[in-house]
Amino acid sequence: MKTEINSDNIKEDIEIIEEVLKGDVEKFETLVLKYQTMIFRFVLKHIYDIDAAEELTQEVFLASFKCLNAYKKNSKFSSWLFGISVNIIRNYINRDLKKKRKCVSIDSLVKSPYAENKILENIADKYECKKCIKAIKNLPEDLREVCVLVALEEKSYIETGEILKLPVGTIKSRMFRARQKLKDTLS
Amino acid sequence: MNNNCKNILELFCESLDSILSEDKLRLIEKHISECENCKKEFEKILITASKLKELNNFIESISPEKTITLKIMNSIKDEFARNKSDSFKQCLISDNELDNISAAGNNSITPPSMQNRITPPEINPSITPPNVF
Repeated sequence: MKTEINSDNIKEDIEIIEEVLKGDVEKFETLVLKYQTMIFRFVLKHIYDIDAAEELTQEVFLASFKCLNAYKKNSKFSSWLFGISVNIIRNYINRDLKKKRKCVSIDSLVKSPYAENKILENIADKYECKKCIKAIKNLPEDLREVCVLVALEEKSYIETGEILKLPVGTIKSRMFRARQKLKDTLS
Repeated sequence: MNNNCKNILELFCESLDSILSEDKLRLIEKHISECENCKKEFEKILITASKLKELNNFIESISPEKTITLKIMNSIKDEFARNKSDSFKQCLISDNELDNISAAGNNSITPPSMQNRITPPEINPSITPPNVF
């Protein structure tokens, strides 16, 4: 179930953040517990690898802690976390691509069965789910980011625009293009 | 596909993500009843949308390892301990400062004057959200 965000929630988050900024680091755990699953699943919707999603979730929270003082009260803490996540996912995907291009070691050729079980394409029961994962992974980065936020996370165009720092019109047109591309692959 | 069909198709996609006015919805319905090609396109888009929903339900059933909270908090405490005496300590703000910020109507928790010194130097700007810098 997704974390419901309302004004009370935002107020609560801000109070916790203020406490953390005053030096009560333990309070940060409340935010971690509240948002870790949401961020983990969001990352998973981009990279479809459970182990990597857990690592990146840790990176997201560490990065958010490091720059907590830059969080603006007028935006939802969850949206801010999504923004950080998007950047960390981009870095990971670029890193991963570079690694794949540069290094084809024996280790990477001998696939561990344990690692295989953590890749969603391998554990999804339905063929249709696997096909869907492949189709999303094949979307260009700009379309995939919008597609995950709008179609999977069910964010509004406005919130997606805030997270990606893009105008609503751009979000709308990218979502249209993403749907067109997915339709060609999936229907 | 003519321009009218493309506009209606865009509107149809929009209707899957947000609430459209009655007028716009009527426009889509009218077009579907008259244009067989668009009707087929809409059906394909609906199939795609339902597959995305199915994928989302699958992912929403997966949870991280229970130890993730501990791992996150350990890395954060390490980070705090490393920076306790310098950068992070500098970014802590007093109650008075907070009151002053509120009084000034500034929404930011951190006073703008502190922005430069509170950002720990080791943070890679590329991993911070676009609105931060």
